[in-house]
Amino acid sequence: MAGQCIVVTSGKGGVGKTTITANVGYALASLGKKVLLIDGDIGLKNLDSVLGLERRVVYDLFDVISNRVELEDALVKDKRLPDNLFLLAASQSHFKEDVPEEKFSEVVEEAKKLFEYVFVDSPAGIEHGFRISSRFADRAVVVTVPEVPSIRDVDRVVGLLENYRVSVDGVVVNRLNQALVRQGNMLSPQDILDLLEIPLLGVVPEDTLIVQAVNQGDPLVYKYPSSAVARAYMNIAHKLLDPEYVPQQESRKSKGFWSLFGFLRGEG
Amino acid sequence: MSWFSDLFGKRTKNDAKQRLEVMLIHDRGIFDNADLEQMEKEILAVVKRYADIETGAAEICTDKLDNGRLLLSIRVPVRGQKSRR
Repeated sequence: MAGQCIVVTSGKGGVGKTTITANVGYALASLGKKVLLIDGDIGLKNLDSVLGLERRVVYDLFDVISNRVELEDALVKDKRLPDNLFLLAASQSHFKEDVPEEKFSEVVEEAKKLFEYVFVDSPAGIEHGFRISSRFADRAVVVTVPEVPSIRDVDRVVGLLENYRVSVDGVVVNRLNQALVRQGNMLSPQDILDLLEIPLLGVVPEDTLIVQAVNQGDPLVYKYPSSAVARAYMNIAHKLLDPEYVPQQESRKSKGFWSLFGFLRGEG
Repeated sequence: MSWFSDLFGKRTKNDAKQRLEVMLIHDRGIFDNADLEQMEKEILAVVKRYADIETGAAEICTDKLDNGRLLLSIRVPVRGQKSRR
C-alpha cells in the first residue's frame, strides 16, 4: 500500500490540532479508509485520551524507534472502527529530542506501507518536534482559530512547510463564533483567506459538544454524528479525499434544486 | 443588549485584519526593518548626488497591492537642483 502522510500542525498551541486529528482521522476511517494516527507530541501524550484509548496503550512510538517492538505490535486498535482506525501513542518518559529525524522517517515510511492515510498530530512550536512531524509528510493541514496570534503563526508555519516541500492542503478555521463574526468582532473565514495564501479546507464552529465529547473519550463524529460540528469534520475528510468536494450543506441545497427538475421531468 | 451592540458596538475585526496585514508582510521576510533602513540610506546617498533633498523627511514604506504583490515606495522631498560647482 502506498499511503500518504498528512501532518496536522499550527505553530500556536491550544488551537485544536489534536481534536481535529482525532475527528478527521475518525471521519476518514468511517468512510472506509485505513487510517493510522501518530501522536507526534512526544513527552506529552494527548491523542490517546481524546480518542478514549488511554487505558489500552501498551507500547508507544519510542518502543518502535528503539526496536523493542515491531510497528504493527505497537498499534492500538480503535474498537469503534476495528478494521480501519489505529493509534501509535507518544511516550511520556522521553523528550522530543530523543527521537532522531531518520528514525521517525523510518516509522512514517513503514506506516505508509500499511495504511492509506497516516496522520501525524504535530506538537505546538516550530522546533524539533514540529520538524520531525512535518519533514516526512506528503501533505499538511494547518489549523488556526480566528485570532491574530494564531493566524500569524500559521503563516509562519506555511513558510516552513514550503521549505520542507510539503504540500499544504489548506487551513482549517477552528472555533468560529458566527455571532461574533456577524457583530464584526471576529475575523471571518474569508478575511483569513485574504490574509493567508492557502486554500480553505474547512470551518469548524465553536461548540460545547467538542468539550463534552473529549470529556467522554469519544471522537465527536462518533458521539454526535448529526451535529453541525460533526458535519464540519466530515466535510474536511471528504475534501482531503477530493479537493473539488462541495461541502454537505451546499450539496443538499443543490440536490433539492435538481430534484425539482427531476420532479418536472416526472422522476421520483 | 445584543442588537444594541450589533448596531453601535465597536467592530474590532478590521483592527485585526489591518494589523495582521502589516505583521505578515514583515514576517514573510521580504524586507525586515533593518533591511529597509539600510536600503533607505543607500538610496538617499545616490539621490543626494543629483538633488538637494530633505534627508530627514524621506520615507520608505511597503504596501500590499490588491493582487497580493508588495509595493515598495520611497518619498523624498526635493528642495531643488543640486548646486553645481
